[in-house]
Amino acid sequence: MVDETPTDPTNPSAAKKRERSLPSQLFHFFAGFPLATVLMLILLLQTWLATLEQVDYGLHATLRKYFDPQAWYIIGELRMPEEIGGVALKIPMPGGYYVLGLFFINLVLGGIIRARKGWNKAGILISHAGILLMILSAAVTERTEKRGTMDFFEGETSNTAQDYYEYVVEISEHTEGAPKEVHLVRGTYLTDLVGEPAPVRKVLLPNLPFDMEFTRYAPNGRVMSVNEMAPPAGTPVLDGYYIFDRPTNKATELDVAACYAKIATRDGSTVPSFILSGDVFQPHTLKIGERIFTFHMRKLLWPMPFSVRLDKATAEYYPNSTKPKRFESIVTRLENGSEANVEIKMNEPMRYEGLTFYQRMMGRENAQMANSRPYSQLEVVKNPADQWPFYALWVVTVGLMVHLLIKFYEFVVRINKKRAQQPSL
Amino acid sequence: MEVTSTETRPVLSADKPVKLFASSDERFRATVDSPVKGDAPENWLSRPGTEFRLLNYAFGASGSGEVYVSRSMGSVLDNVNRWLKQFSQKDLDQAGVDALEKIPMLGGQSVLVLAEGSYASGMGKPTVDGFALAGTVVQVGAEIYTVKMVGPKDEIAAERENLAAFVKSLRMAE
Repeated sequence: MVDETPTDPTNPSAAKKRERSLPSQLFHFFAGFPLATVLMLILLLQTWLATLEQVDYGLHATLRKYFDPQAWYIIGELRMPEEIGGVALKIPMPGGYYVLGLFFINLVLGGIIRARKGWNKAGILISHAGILLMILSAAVTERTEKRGTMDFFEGETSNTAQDYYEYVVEISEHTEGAPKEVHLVRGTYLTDLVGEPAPVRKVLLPNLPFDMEFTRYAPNGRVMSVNEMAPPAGTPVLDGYYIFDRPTNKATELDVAACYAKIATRDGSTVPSFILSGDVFQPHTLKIGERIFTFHMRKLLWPMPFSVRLDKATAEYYPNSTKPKRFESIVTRLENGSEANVEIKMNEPMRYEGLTFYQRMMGRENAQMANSRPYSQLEVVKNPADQWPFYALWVVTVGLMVHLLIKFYEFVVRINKKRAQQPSL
Repeated sequence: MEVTSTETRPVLSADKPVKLFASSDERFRATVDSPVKGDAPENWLSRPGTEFRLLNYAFGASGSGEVYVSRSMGSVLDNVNRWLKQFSQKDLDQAGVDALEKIPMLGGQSVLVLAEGSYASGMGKPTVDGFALAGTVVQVGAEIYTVKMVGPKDEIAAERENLAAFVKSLRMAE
């Protein structure tokens, strides 16, 4: 960013500044310190408020609220202490995604293009480049990152990661007892089907002999039997069950989605509606003509380019606590007939083919039985910018070190010059 | 609101074999083996267990009589009084519970709780008149097991002997 010198009306250069063209004025505005200061203050405030809010609303929901590209503006909440009323102050501000975007532009224009150049400014330029890389990595992560889990018991092999949040509807045709392909209806077609009057969405499925209709999506719905609890007024009951809409969890990944579904056959014949839920033991089955289809709601599965076999899962805890001391998965990576043994530990992930496998959780099939089968849960992350923040921190560090050394060198030169100018006694 | 979806994915290791044409009970409720077994009379209709019902039966011409075995929280006294409250009856003290009729159950002596009148099961269900309760509560180790039979008064009266025989037949599954 560039130093703004105070303007003097008697100074010809100040007069020249006043006569700047509109593009020049825009450039100076977007490259200027005032804008940088305001943006950094907003980011500081947003980080602070989001840190406080995530205690009440959960990390995922809060990050989405403050930094989602769809959030052009946000209303931050600052809850006052109970002693002074406990009211929540509402603070409107621009969305964090766009504040960061503007800050990126500001830093490019002011911190790189318009910044003073010279060998003694190299450190500053390098540090600015590091900060730009950090912001860029956040944007790339937001746009491209996929995150899920791979769960398996010792001895099992998996080629699948399961998304943390997105519930989808899967439709499979069963020929010779097993499906060959799974058709998907993505969560984006379902999640807005909330509220009253209940909206209905028709999903056309050109590769199947029917279409589907969905309604009353519950992001955290529990399928209840009428024998267990009477349904709220107006709730559809299908075969003795209904969807009870529960509040969502702070940890959004714990939510279990559910919705009502209906088949729209091409010949207009009637098929009873049914309930889909992420918390079921078996899928719903329908026979359409002579073909058998199953309907399943579950979190989105994504195929891995290779398989991973869990050979051994080791979990150690600190004495008399459930705090993990050591989680370690010894796995074999299987790809095109070749095998590679890898140890995945806490903070020592496996990186391969653009995917990173972190050790996330460990447990046993039956938590009460010490000799039941152990399982391991790996977090699978696909993010081309995975390591960029790490590199960015190094760039900033190197930049600041260079700047420090330059300043030190200048200081030594200045002192020596001063000493040389002093008359010797 | 119409959209088109053509997205597919291959079959993956997470796609386990499924049961085709599963009933709603099989889809939505765990059908794992109950830790207790019992010999139910022939006129009781076995129903799938639920999260709170280890064994679950229906009976009677009205279709509203039911018997179920549960594992519960609290003490024997707590459970007896919880049931009595559902029929708007006064709580018992420990001496009152000790004085109740006993039936052998799961290696211990369960207490038999009887009540009748308007039944308010809670959980949002409306109160029903003319109902009765016959149930047993026993403590086995640190756990409380209950057998609860509720339904129309005359149907409960007709099933009292069957209930006693069923309670005596209960045993821990191997």
